[in-house]
Amino acid sequence: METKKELLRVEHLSVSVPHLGQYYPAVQDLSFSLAVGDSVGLIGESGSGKSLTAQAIAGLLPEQVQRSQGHIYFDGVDLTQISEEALRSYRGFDITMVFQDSATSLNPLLTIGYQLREVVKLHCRDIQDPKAQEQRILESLEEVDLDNPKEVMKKYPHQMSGGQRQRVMLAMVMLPKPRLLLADEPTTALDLTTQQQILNVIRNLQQKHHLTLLMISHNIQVVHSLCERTMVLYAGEIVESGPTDLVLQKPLHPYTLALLESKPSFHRKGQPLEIVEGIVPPLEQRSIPCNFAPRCPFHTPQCDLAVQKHEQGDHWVLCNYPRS
Amino acid sequence: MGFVQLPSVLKGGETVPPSQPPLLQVQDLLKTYPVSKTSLFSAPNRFIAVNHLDFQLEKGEVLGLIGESGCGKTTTARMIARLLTPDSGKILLNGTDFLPLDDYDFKPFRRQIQMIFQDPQQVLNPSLTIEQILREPLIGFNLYGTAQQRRDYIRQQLVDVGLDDSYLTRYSHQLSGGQRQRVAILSALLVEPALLIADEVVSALDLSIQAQILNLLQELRQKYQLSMLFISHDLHVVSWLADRILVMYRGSLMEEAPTEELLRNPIHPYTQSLLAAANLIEGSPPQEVIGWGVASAECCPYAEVCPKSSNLCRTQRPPIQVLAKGHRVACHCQQ
Repeated sequence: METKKELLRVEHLSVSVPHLGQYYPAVQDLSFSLAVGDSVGLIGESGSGKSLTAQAIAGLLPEQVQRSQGHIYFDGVDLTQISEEALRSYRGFDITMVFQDSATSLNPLLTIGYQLREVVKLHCRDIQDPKAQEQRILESLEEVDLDNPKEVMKKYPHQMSGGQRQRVMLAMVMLPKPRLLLADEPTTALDLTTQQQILNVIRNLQQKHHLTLLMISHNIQVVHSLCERTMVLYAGEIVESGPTDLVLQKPLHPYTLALLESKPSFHRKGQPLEIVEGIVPPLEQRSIPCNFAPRCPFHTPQCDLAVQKHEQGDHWVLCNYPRS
Repeated sequence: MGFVQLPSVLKGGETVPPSQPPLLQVQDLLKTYPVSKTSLFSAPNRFIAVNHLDFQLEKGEVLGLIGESGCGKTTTARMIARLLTPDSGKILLNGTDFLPLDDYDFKPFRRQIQMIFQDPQQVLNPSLTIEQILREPLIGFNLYGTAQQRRDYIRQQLVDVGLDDSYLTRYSHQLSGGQRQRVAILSALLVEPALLIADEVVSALDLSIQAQILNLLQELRQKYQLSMLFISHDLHVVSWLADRILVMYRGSLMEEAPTEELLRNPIHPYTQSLLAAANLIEGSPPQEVIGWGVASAECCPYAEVCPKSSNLCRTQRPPIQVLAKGHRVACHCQQ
């Protein structure tokens, strides 16, 4: 079955953050792997540790945040063991990242063209010829469906719409021809209509360049339309993982089920939405076996003692009482 | 919380129509903003934020207002709440146009129209406790005379939004996003408004919290027959809650219909593409418009990107046509 080559493997990653004068794990014992060409979605609510996971992989964790344990293997190299300098030869070259807010990622004082040229100079060392560099930029802008790339390069970020800026960001991160793209809520700040277009662009880029994609979102629909596999993150732990269709159509974890049922839609008009009371437990209250137990309608005393992993093929869940 | 009759003073000069008027009528509402000139000698341009908008809202009804960001949803809401002054037009509450009134005469209307916003963090004063925050509107409108009565009333109403007495002594930063939104909703409802304007109230919330707040709004609505103007860019949320949906694009009304009618039978190409973007029907999402300049009054605002646009669309503004089943649409295709 080993047809695809593994590109990224995360093993027992834990990230601790300072809170109330102490370090608490915000990401706990995360393990997963991505093969070349995979598209994997990571869904979870705010505070579940989605962004920290991506930042840990890119080596972009804020200074005060501690990466306590775990290994991140990229193409066989353990990124947690190499020097900052060595890491820099991966970040921005083989691994690139897009963020939610394109307006803060771009410098408002410089033209789009200037900012793209800067990236080419620093991150595309294979091309030295200025003409070839320009060519690479134009190609990249065309790939993200921006009309009239030459005009776009003369513009400043404020002269463009949110959707266009996000396209420019995508063009920029694709310049070094990365192998792994970490997308941290790239469509969240956009209108529903623009969101669809950006998703199409990402899908095309992924197929064309055989890109490996880790998509982070709180939006189930976004993940559904783009990712083959989905991992559900709750309070810093992956509670369910499997092929997207299975996870979203036959969810095993009560939390995934609740997320899906709480979605308002016209078909549920007049009926109250299924809700889980309460909130994601704060950092200092996360030392119990199952963090969802206090909100879980199927909770039994057994859940406070231990929690078991149940597997159905490549679809697994961290719950004593899997659904369906 | 029942409906409060308007003081008779306000009805003095007005002639009250015989049949009961709708709760809210918006007539020919126009709001423009000055934009920078293209050259020193050109005439000052004005950006049309809300372009001759007409609609009404009946008592007990939830009207959903939907459109992309920048289409004038929030501007409309702010004008109805009198946080912005329109250039022209009328806004009638229970048949009375309150725009010509001065601030003193407007005060009873202020109580009738309450608004809740996307980010409760910015609405709740960080240096006041929740009880102090909730007391403010009661003091401002001089309701429930004594301090003790006010306290009792607040305690009694807290249950309505799923909170209890223990929250009263806390500060807003000690609450979660969902709890803050509950406090914001309660502070709007304490003065028993006739109309609640909800501007993107669930957009900033996580899915599970969003569901809690939506259920709360639905419960409150049934309990108090609340009339609501519900603004959102999320078609799924709007279609779940609203009785009628109004689609706006670049400040203009595109289509309006009862929710079911709109979803089953969308007429305007823009509505169709919005529904497609939300995966409600087959089709392609609308195209992005770059740099919404000064919209010409002489064409359909959607003509530039509309797949069905003709010469007529670019030279003449489509009139609003009233169709069967309370369906209104502004499109030349429908002639």
